[in-house]
Parts: sequence; C-alpha cells; structure tokens
Amino acid sequence: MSATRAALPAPTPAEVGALAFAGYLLGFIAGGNQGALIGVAAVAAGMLVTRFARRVSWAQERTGVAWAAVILALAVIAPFVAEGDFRITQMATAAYIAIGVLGLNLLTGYTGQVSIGHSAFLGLGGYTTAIVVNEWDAHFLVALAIGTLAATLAGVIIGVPALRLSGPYLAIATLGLAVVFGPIVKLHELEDFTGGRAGLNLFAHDLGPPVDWAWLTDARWYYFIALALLIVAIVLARHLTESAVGRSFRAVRDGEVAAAAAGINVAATKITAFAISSAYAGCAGGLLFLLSNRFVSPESYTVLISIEYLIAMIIGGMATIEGSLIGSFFLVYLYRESFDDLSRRMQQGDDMPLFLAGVVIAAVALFGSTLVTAWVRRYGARVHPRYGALALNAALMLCCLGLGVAFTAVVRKATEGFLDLVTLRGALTGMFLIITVVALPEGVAGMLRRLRSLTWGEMGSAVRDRLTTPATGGDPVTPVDEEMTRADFGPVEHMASAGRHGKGG
Amino acid sequence: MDTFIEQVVSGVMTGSVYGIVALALVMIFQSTRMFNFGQGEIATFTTFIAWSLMLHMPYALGFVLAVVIAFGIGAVLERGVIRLVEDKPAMSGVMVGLGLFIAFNSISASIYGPEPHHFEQPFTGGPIDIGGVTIGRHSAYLFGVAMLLSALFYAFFRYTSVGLALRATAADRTGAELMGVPTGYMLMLGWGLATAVGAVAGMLVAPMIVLTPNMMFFVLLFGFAAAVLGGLDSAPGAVVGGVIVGVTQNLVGVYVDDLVSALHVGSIRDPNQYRDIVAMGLIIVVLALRPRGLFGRAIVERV
Repeated sequence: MSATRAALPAPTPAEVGALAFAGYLLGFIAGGNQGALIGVAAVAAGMLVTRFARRVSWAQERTGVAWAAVILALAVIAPFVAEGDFRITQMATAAYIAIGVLGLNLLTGYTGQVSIGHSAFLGLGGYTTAIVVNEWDAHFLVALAIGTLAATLAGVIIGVPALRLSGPYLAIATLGLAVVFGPIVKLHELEDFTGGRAGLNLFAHDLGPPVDWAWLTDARWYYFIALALLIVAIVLARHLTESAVGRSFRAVRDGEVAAAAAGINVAATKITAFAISSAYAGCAGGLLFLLSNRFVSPESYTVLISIEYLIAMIIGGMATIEGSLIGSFFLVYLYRESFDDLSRRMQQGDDMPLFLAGVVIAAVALFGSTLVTAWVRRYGARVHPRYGALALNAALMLCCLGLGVAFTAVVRKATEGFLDLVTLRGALTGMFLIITVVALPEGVAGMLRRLRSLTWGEMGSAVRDRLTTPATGGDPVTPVDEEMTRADFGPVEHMASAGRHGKGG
Repeated sequence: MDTFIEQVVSGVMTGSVYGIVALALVMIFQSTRMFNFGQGEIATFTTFIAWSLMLHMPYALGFVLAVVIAFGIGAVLERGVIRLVEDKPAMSGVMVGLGLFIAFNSISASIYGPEPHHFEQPFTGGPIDIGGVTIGRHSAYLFGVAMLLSALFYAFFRYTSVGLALRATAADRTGAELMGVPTGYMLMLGWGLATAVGAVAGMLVAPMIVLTPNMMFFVLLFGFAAAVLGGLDSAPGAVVGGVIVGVTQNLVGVYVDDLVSALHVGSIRDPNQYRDIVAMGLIIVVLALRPRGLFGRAIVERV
C-alpha cells in the first residue's frame, strides 16, 4: 500500500485549480459571496493540513479517520445552521444519492459489470416502499426494509440472465430494463397499486418523527434517516470491499478466467454483486420517495437517473467509496443546482455572475488543458521537444481564450433570453464526463489521493513532465500514471498492481 | 386479414427506420467496438440543423447539406474524442457514448428549445392504395430511402476498394495497417458515414413524430433492439432486425388483446401500452438466449 501511495504522481495545477473551483462554487451556492470565500479558504486549509499531516508519520496513517470525523461532525451540525428546509432536503438528497451511487459502484466499479438499469431497481424500491405504506399503513422504515428486500430479489433475478453478458452487451440489456420499468408501472392492470401514469401521492400520510421535539422538524428527521442509512451503507461497503467477497469482486473485474482459475465462483460473485447493488439502489429509491414529498411516479425513475448516477460514479472515482460521496455531491450541487442558481442570480441582475463566468471559464480551460495534454500524448510522437512544448502552451492559451469567449457569448445570450442556460448543464456535464474518462480515469477521488503528495516543487516537475513527455515518445518519468490511464479503469491499489509492486519491493 | 397485412406493411415501413439506425450502430460497433449511445442525439441535432437550413432553401438541398454536416461531426468526434479512448476498457466507450448523449441532447435543447418544431414532408397528399392496402405517402418515401440507403451501403462495402479497406479495418486493425490501409482515416470515415446515416434517419423520422430534442430517444432504443436482434457484426442483420422490431411492435399493438382473451387470463384495457414493453423485452430475451443475435458470429474471447 505505502509503495503505491508513494508512487502516485503529484497533482497538476489544473487539478488544484479544479479543487479550488469546486470549493468556490459550492460555497457560492450555499451562501453567496461570503460563502464562496469560505469555500476557497476551506479547500486551501484542507490542503495545507493534509500537506503538513503527511510529515508526521502517525498523522499520515490517521488522516483518513480525522477527515471522516470532521465530515461527520459537519454533517450532523449542518441541518441546524442551514437556512430553511430546502437546503436540508438538498443535503438529504445528496445523502440518498450517495447510497445509490455507492451501490452502482459496487457493481460497476468493483465488479466491472456496467449497468444502465439502476433506475429500475431504484424504482422498484421506491414503489414497493410507497405501496407498503399506502396499503398497510406501515411505518416508513419497515416499508423501506421491504422495498430494499424487493429490489434485492429483483437483483438476483436479473443477475442470472446477466451472467451471460458482459461489457457493452450488458449495458444494452440493462438499458432495456430501465426503459421497460416506466411502461410496466403505467400498465392499466396495475393502476390500483401503482397509480398508473399519475403516480402515487402519499402526501396525506404522516411519516414525520415519532417524538414531538421542537427541534426535530420533518425535514431534519428525513435528513437524519438518510444520513444514518448512508453511514450504514458506507460501513458495510467498506467491510465488504476489504473482505474476501470484495477481493473476488475485483478479481472478476480484472479477469474472469483468471478469477475462475484461482478458485472463485464467478457466477456466484456476479449475482452477489447484483444483489447487493440492487439492495443499495432499493434503499435509495425508497428515500427518493420520502424526500420528493412522499410521491412516486414513473417520471421519478427514468433512465436519466441511471445515466446521472453513472456520471456521478465516474466523475467521483470508480471503485472508491469516497468517490461515490464526491460524485453525489457533484450531482446535487453542481449538476442540478448550480445552473439553476446561476441563471436565477443572473436574472436578478446581480453582477456576481460575470465574475463567476470568469471562474467557470478558468475551470473549463483547466479541464480542457488536461484534454489537450491527452491529445498531445496521443499524437505527440512527431512533436519537437522544445517547440512542441511551446506549441502546447500556445494551444492551451488559445483553448482558454476560445472557451472563455464562447462561454461569455453563451452567458450574454442566456441573459438576453435566447439560450436557456439551465439546459446547457448537460453539455458541460457531458464534456466533463468525457474529459474525466479520457484524462482522469481515476476520478476526483483518485486526484484527491494524489493531492497528498503535493509540494510546489513536485507540482512544477509534474507540469514539466507532462509537457515534455510527448517529445520523448515514451514516458520515462511517471510509469504509474501511465499504468493508471491505460491499463485499468479502477483504483491504483487493486490486486494486480499490488502484486506487481510487492514483487518490485 | 386486411388489418393484418396493413399492420405488417406499416410495421415494415417504421421498421426500416429502426433498421438504418441499427445499421449506423453496427458500423460504429464494427470499427471501434463501442455502442454509440450518442447516435440518436447527434441525429436529432443534425435534424435541427436541417430544419433551420430548410427555412432558407429547398428540401433536397437542406437534406444533402445536413448529411454532409453530420459526416463532418462524426469524423471530428472520432478524431478528437473516440480515438483517445480506443485502447481503454469497454466501459470507457460506454461512458463516452453517454457523455455524447447528454451533451448533444442539451445542446439541441438550449439552441432550439424544448417546444416541438414542424419538420417539412417532401411528399404530401393522401395515402397510396396498392391492391387494397393503404400506405401513407411519407411512409412509402421513408421505406424507399431506407432501402436505397441499404442497397448503396451494400454495394459500397462489397464492390469498392474503400469499402474493402473499411471492412479490413473492422476485421483486423493491425493486419489492415500492415497491408497499407490508412486505418486512422478509415475509422474517421466509418464514424462520419455512421453519423450521416443517423442524420438521414432523423430527418425521415422527424415528420412522423414532432421534432423535439428528445425525438430520437425511443427510435435509438429500438435501433439498439434491432442491432442486437440482427447480430452486432452483421449489417444486413441490422436492417432485418429493424423490420422484425417494427412488425412486432405493430402486431403486439393489434393482437395482444386477442391473445390474452384466447389464453383466458383476463382482458387488456389498452393494448398499445404493451408495444414498448415487448420491443424492449425482445432485447433482453435475445441477449439472454442468443447474445450473438440472429445473424451474428459467436463471440470468442481469447485469454
């Protein structure tokens, strides 16, 4: 483990910049200008703390625990400082999405089975929960347990035919599953249970807290349910991935034949992964029902949900637990919220958006520069050492300029009412997704892991290496980075590479 | 019986559109081993371009220009994006496809808005009557274009040297390269052609269902069903698969009611609601029972 960590390449300025930007934007959404400053300051402080912590050996081992404790404390305090129920529900949404993304990650990230059908499992969990509450007037947690169980069973049932499929074939079959879910729920024959096209509205059912404490409002109660379940989900996933089951997941992902030769029951492993993953999805679906005003409809569980979760998983980082959390925050705060907020603030005539546009330009350019670097790596064999680097720099600057102008034009148009900025979020998200797949396969979580090895000198040399690498044709300086971009979509420390490092040491 | 023939004929006509969407998917799958989930949305985008072009020029000119633009988009995407993930695991391809899907959907929506647009029909007028079977004029046009396109592609791949080079690239990249085939350009060409075919499908579909940013979503799904049904490495299979899906959909819509009452399991209130379920169920069943499809070759994994 330590060998792997030491070999991680230093982060590039693009990545540090992206992190600062994330802090800025999250803060801005939460609390306007002051929040933005606090967000950037928090990111800087976090980086400094991690930077110094790694000098002390015991702290190096415990930084993870310390971070977890700080984040947990913040999560508990948050609903009492947040302004209004809307923000609390938003945090609860991030929590339940994290459960769903974590489940998807167990199946797709750890076991390598692509699923675009997760929305169907979410829907099954959500509908079962709602129907149990509606028909038998059960307590929400009981209904949620039944919903989770139903989704688990469906996972086993779907997992069996899925055994024959892999890669893109499985993606298409699960896509079919996700698409079929809506029409099935809408069937007139099932209308008595599901409410058909209109959905099932249980607003009249009181699912609030069982005790009558003034501070425990409905929104806070929902939030704490979601948070508690998220903690359970994280702990379970952690134990699972570090146990023999988790190792067999990764072995199946890295090579089915090799795993079978090593005595792993591939079929049983895949079905287990499907079952556990759908259990997580069912739980998330039930919470989605609770948090969307106790309402389920076919439109709550469309295939777009599956795609969103996949995006969250990829951008957060595949086969990492913290990546699922980061991804769900990205989804809720940047994908769904920031653009609504941005366009609203712009309509109010706030002059902040111009500054914000500048920051977005910078972020897009930084991410874009990562993509350009990938291009140069791909096509750079013919590039002259010195002039190649110069050309790349020029290309980067042009890229920044072009994107900046384009974005400003888009913002201008949006304010004039020609373009709907909210609808453009898909374009930016799709771009981020592609860039993440191309240039940052280990996701934000992998990038954060690399931030641990941050020093200014290393950062400088990282830039230099990235600029000069294409000229030499090979990649003599950062072999681990190369391995991560090419060999595997997963985390650095999966079994195969651990074995290789072990032999080398 | 007349209903039956009419339903089959109309199923064949709609199915031919699924067929050419499937053809585009198969072309991309053969050359780059990825499912282009963005296919439908790129087609929608180019259909919107065609719509704005046709405001200023006649149908035929706008049609051709849009196809050329689509070809350019496809070629640029292959060179700029797809080539960066070609040697990565299959999952990267799926993700890039989803990225294209969401990006192009959002671009269409933000430029042209969510409201439906009216797309011009080249042939208007009443339905044609052939031997007691009535066919809509646009359906006939659509079927004709689809069949012409399939024939052209067949001839192109079968009888031209570029077509041969494309097939060689798809079959064995390294081998083709050693034989002097510029495989890089061939991949660009393949993507460009596939995107152009998608654009044609989009422009054929648009008058039947109104032109909106989400227009192609279900068409793409049925295209996937057709491609999977026909076998992912068989171009004729894709067209046949499309026809099968189209006919199945229509027959299910008409006869599911009779079937259920014949089986004495109750009655059905709205037969049309089963169309999509059966069509999508077909994908899952075919994949589970015969993953290589009806015409495809068996997938052999080398260890």
